[in-house]
Amino acid sequence: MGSTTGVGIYFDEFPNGTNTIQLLTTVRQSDFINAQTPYIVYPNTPAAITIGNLITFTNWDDFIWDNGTYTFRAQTVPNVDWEIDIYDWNNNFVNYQTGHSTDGNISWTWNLYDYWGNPRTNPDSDPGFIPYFTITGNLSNSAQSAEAGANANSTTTKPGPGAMTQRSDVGNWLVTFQDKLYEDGRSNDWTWATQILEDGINAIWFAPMQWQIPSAKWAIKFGRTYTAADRSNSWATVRAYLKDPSYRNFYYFGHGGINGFGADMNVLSNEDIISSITLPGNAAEIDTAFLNSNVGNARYGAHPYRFVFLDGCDTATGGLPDAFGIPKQNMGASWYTSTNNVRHLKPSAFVGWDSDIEMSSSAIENFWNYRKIWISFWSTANVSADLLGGLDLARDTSGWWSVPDITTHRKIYGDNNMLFKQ
Amino acid sequence: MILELGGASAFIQVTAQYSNAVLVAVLPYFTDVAKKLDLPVPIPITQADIAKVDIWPGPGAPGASILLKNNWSFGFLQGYVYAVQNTHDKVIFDSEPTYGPIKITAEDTVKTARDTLRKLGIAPEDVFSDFEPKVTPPNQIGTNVTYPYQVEWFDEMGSRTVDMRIDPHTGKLDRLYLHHFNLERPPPKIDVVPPPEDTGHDSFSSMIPPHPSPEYALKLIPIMLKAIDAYGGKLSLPITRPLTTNNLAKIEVYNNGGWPHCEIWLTNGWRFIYRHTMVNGYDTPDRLGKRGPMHIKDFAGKWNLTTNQAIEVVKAALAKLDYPTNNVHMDFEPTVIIPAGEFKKIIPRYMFEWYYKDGSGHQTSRIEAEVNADNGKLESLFYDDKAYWDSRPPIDVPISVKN
Repeated sequence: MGSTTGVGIYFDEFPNGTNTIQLLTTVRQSDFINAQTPYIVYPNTPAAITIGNLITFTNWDDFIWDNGTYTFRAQTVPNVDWEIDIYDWNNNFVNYQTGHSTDGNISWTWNLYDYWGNPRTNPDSDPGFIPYFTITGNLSNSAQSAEAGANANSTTTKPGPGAMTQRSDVGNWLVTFQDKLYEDGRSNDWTWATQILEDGINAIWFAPMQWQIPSAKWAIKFGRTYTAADRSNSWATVRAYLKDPSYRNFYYFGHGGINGFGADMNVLSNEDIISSITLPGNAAEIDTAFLNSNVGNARYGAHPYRFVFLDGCDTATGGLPDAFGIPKQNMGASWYTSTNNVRHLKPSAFVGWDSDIEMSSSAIENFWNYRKIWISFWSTANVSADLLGGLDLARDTSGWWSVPDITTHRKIYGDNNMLFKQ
Repeated sequence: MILELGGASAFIQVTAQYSNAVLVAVLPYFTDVAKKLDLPVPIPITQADIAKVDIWPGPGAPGASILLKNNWSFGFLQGYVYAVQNTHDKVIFDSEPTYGPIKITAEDTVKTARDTLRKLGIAPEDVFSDFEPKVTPPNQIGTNVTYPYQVEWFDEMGSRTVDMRIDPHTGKLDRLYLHHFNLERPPPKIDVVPPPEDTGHDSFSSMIPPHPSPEYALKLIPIMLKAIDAYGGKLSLPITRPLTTNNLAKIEVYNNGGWPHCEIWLTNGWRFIYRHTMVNGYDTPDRLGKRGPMHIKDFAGKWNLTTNQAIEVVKAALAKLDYPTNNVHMDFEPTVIIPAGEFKKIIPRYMFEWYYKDGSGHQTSRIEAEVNADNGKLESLFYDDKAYWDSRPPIDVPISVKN
């Protein structure tokens, strides 16, 4: 994480009152990102803080999950008149409602129609909405009066969190890879390996398209033959794709780590790739901080991913699944339709590895056979082969790595029974 | 003896002739399963009943999956019907709830699942259904049922062998999915030979991946056999010495960036790995972690060795091989893999991994081993270290000749 970025806490999503807060600062001690990357965690002394927001959103729904309606909920001081004004993702007015709250709870169930009677249920044109809460009354008669603008018989307006549309289909695919991973820093001719890599990537890229599902392929500039700016800009494109809520499926091949993936170039011993390096100050990686703030758990624009396969070392070890909005547990298919799924997530799955993976040169063909078998089986079988079925078949027939190693180090979180078009 | 030089694509091109031939070959398998399970589909299933066909182009072929016009689907691969599914089931496929009381108990569901396997002639030991299944009950929200019963069995490493979904209102099977080496059968004969995959370029067919030359491989084979003799002698492995080509089933030789990576299979099921200029390890035919059929009874035993005692078995073997001690890195806790779930009680096997990384986190040494904790036998061993990566076998021809 660079020095100018960070993760905010939205205190208005917590109840008012006294709370304890502790800052834990994690500093990476090496430019080499892998499971052995040393980190130092600096904790400060826990501090008691008082949260006193005039308007809070303690039981907010991230998503419009009930097809026909969405309920805005907020809490404030008693005896207020309230107005909720809804704006769309392009900041255009959509609709409003007014009311009065005697106990401080504000609630309005919106029917998803705009002021002019048009339905606003197309996730492509309306990925989400931002409500503005205006309250009028004696706003000074409570502990929350410390908030700016809170006076007797006064009015204040505050934006609520985003209310995001659930994906209505499987969403777009993004297939990315570090383009010169097999060639960077090596003296022999490894272009043949890049050809095999591209064959495998193309198989994954084409799989959604056979079902008319939009799919984008992006070759991430990797290695010494590019400038640092080229590499950083290339990753900026990946970040832009990931922020776009129309993309909900992501495959990445390249160097990985516990809480991020990416790198600038290989580290080699002779002709063998033994690690990678992310240069200081460069942006050739994506970490959990970016993903939490912009993808799976964003305050505005949260769009949990449907499917993520981070095909690099150690990617299942840390916080990457949760950062994409995918539970870091094997939930099974039934959890998604159960009452335990309080966030109303649609079926989703994360595939990654909890160790280094077999990347030796002699294994390159089988490595990519594994990926091609998995995606071909999962995406084409009429019998709706599930994700686990595709991965198991690939493990048992590709010849890549060993059955115990793959079974042990392959991590499938979320719904391992997910279907390709579910 | 089979000699393979480099790898190859596992995929084929599906032509119209091949597709037709496969479909003709697999329909009797689907009909047979439909009869045994008394499924509501036409008997026999003919091409006229099919709405959609997918022919599998990958390993395990011939394979196909079909969707019937009445929305039942079937899948065939590796010589067996791996899937049967009622795609009418909106709960599974569209997350739409069903309504009404749940009439079926979990016990009934497991009985239905076991009966289904029995009707198909699948031996419990082939899919481990003689052990306890994992049963996920249906989700019920008010009067809505949002997910059916799910019954699953798993193998000794925790990998799924059976997945059945059963309607909680009627007790009928909605989905059956099977997967294990034990189920594989000889495939039906297909008279049409499909061409290899067309990738749009000639990376596989023209040896753009620099596959080893036959001349290099033929000079390497006696060097490897001599090295295996010496290696086997040091460990007193129960294999013939000296090895001759009569003892070899298959040799795979890869160009691993200017140096050889080889896998040598003996006719008695042993496998050796040779890289650079040394034997890196071996697998016995009794290794648990191999790709292939397995039955619990063949691996059952008692845990007679503790973890530390099993580690000593590995250390003792490496000591006999007499590597420089500063190149052997096992002075830290290994990753320990043991059988999953209840199988860990009856299959006494340890799999160890020592992946050594230097101060910068670069992996420079690797030891893997499987120890039979019942009899102390080292079923598998692999050792490699960066220290050996500069050496090359004394062969006076290039490893590859690029055309």
